[in-house]
Parts: sequence; structure tokens; C-alpha cells
Amino acid sequence: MNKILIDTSKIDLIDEIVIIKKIPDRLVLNIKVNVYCGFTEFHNKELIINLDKNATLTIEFLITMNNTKNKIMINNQEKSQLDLHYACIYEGNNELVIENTIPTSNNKNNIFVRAVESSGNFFINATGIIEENTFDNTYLEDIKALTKNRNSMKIMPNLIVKSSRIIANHNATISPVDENDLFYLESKGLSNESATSLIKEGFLKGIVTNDELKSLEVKTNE
Amino acid sequence: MLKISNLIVKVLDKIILDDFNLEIKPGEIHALMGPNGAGKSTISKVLLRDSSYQITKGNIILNEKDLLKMNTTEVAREKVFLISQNPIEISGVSNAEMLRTSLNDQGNKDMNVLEFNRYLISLCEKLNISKDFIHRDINYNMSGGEKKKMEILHMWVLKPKFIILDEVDSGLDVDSLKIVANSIREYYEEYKPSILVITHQKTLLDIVKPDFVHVLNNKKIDKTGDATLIEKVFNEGFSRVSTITRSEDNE
Repeated sequence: MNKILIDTSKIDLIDEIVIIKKIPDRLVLNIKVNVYCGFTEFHNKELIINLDKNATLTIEFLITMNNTKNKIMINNQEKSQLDLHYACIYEGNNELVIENTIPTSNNKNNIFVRAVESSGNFFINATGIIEENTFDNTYLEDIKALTKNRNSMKIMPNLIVKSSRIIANHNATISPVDENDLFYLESKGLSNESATSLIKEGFLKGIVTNDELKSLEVKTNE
Repeated sequence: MLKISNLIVKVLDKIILDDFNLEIKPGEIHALMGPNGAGKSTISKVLLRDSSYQITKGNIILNEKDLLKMNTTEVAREKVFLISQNPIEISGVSNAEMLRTSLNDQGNKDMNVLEFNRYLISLCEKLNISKDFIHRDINYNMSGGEKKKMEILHMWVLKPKFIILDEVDSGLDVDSLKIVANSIREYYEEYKPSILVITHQKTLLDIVKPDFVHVLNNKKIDKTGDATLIEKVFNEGFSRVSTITRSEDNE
């Protein structure tokens, strides 16, 4: 098993930014400090994130999925914070599974997924489990997809809450590119292709915070 | 420049404009006034080829071309520019990105990015808005006044020859309205575009100074005059002006 251990006793990763380009098929991240991780490739991978007490992780993906099956499992320890931003263009048959377990208190989890169809199908299964005897957790799961064909995308947002002291919110939307947005950009002289491409790129990069990742070219096949 | 003849426009099978006629020559400023729901904004959407508006009769000639055979991009590339009353927000697309893409799509490929950015900054100073807005998402989280000023900034960059101001004054405070209106007038003095001003407000018209004023009522223009018609409308109301028109016509 490949394992990357991020541990302050060995590597000082406070305020560190890690852009990971080549990763093993199964990756375990033990986060003990404040860490940023960015992925530009993530194909048929299993990622396990263990957030230690007080750890903060921002993890971002700006990737193309092509017949890809990815799985992300998250375990939260007390007072940890996770910001997971998963932006992808998909073609072929794809699947993303997110399993997030919160067995402790005072955690913050913000999970954003943005998917743009190039062609093909995508199934997203996102599950958040907030265990009993926990309190003051906040959990937000926001999944949005821009598709050409509504049937190409299926989203299953599951939220299993066993505690009454939590702020939890989850939503999922599937839609084509907004006609009003297209009209506005075309009325400024942009071609339909340029306008569609700008909207899709903006939709994906809207959840990305890292400038290096943001500056990468995204090919939306317009 | 623009000639609209015998136009009938429907939305969801309801007639919005019926036998609508209007001619605007190069460099002329026309004001279109009318009560709420008269169909004033419809004409701006029709000219920009919004597909929700159905044209069942009539024709529109723009720069000697059939506008009804054009799509929105083609109309915009004839240098037609619309500022609507509530410009939409587009998350993730910055003003600078949109303007650069538009100019690039229209053949300005050897644009100097630094020079372009400097020009945008000078426009922000002139319009009294933060230069940060250039790189912010289009109209995202902006006040009504800021949105209109950004649209004016777009106008100065894209250099239109025909401008449609669709209730551009709505939601603007007095100071912002004066900045926007003066900037439109300044643009007019420099480039002499044709302008169609759709409005309810007098302040904008006082600054932009239309050559012709039209009153839209019952789905068509039923009164046309010079700038003195503005006073008449504000003193007597749309219905009174239209009534006078009809009785004058009958005589």
C-alpha cells in the first residue's frame, strides 16, 4: 500500500501548499496541520483523508475524468476543517464516491463538486454520516453539474444525521448552460462557442481557490 | 442605420408589439417612453435577437442587412450594444476575461494586455468604481449602480455604433445616474453613435438630450415629437398625451 504521511514531527507543513501531479492508486493523507493539496490528475484512485484534531485541509481537484472511477473517504477528528473542491470535465463512463464520516464534534466540512459534461455519463454518490453524541458540527454538500443531456448525470446526495446539534445542508442540481448567460455574453459579441466555453470554465474554476490551479487551461471541447 | 417596419412581436402567443415602426439614422438619439408594461423593453430584446420573442410579421433592417436573419452574436458584431435595466450576474467569468474574449473573437488578436489593462483602469477611475471590479465576476455581488457603471465600461471598450439603453437609470442614485448619463453623453460626443433610450426618468433624458421622443402606447408608437414632448409627458402623463394624440389625429 502506498501511503503519504504528513506529520509535523517530520515535515513542517504549516501553511504549506502541495500540488500533487503523480499519485499512487491508493493514497492515504494523514493531516495533522494546515495543509492545501491540489490535484491536476486523479484517475481511478482511492483517497483516504484522516483529519487529526484541529487539522485544516483544503483539497482541490481540477481534472478531466475519462472512464474514471474515483473514491474519496474522509474521517474527521475533533475541531477539524475540510474544504473539498472537486471540479471536473467528464467523458466516457465515470463514477465518484465520497464517504465522509464525522464521529466527533466541532468540525466544519464544506464539500463542493462541479462537473461539466464533455460527453458521456457520470454517477456521483456523496454520503455524509454525522454520528450520534456529536455536537456543533457544520456540514455543507453542494453538487452541481452542467450537462448537455440531463440523463447523462445521476447524483445521489445522502446525508445521514444521527445528532440533533448540527447545521447541515446538502443540495444537487443538474442543468444545461443557462440561456440568459449565453444571451448576455453573445450580446457582447462573443461567439456561441467562446461564450459556452467561458461559462463552463468559470463554473469549474469558481470553486478553485489556488491561483496555480486556476491558471491551468481547461478544455471544455466547445 | 436601423429601420423597423410593421413589426408584430409575440411572447407565448400574446401580442406585445403590434405594427411597430421606428427609424433611427446614424448619430441620432431617440427616446422611447411609455407606461409600465407597454412593451418598451421588448424592442431591445427583439433587436438583440432574444429567442423568447417571436416575430410574426414585419422586418428590421440594420446597416442595410436583414436583422431578423442574424443571431445575437452577429447583431452585436454590427456594433449594437444593449445595457439592460438589470444586467445579469455570471459567476466565474470576469469582466476582463469577457472583454478580452469578445475583442479577440472580433479579430483584435494582437492586443497588448498591459495597455488593455491600463485602459480599463483609467475607465474605472473615470466612472468612480474600484479597479478591482475589472477582475471580478461579471456583475457578481455588485450594487445596481456598480452594475450599470460596469456596463458603461464595457461600452467604452467595445465601441458600439448603436446603443440601446433599456431603463439604464432604474435603481441608480442621483450621483450614479449623473456619472452614467454624463459618460454616455461623453461617448456620444466622441463617437457619434445612434442611441435608443428607453426610460421613465427625466434626468437621464436631460443629460443625454434626445433628438426625437416617441411615446409607446397600445403596443405601438402613437406619438412622436422633439424634446418638448418629454415635458408634456411629465406634466400631463402618458394617457393624456396619447388621448390628445388620438383626438388630434381624428380632427
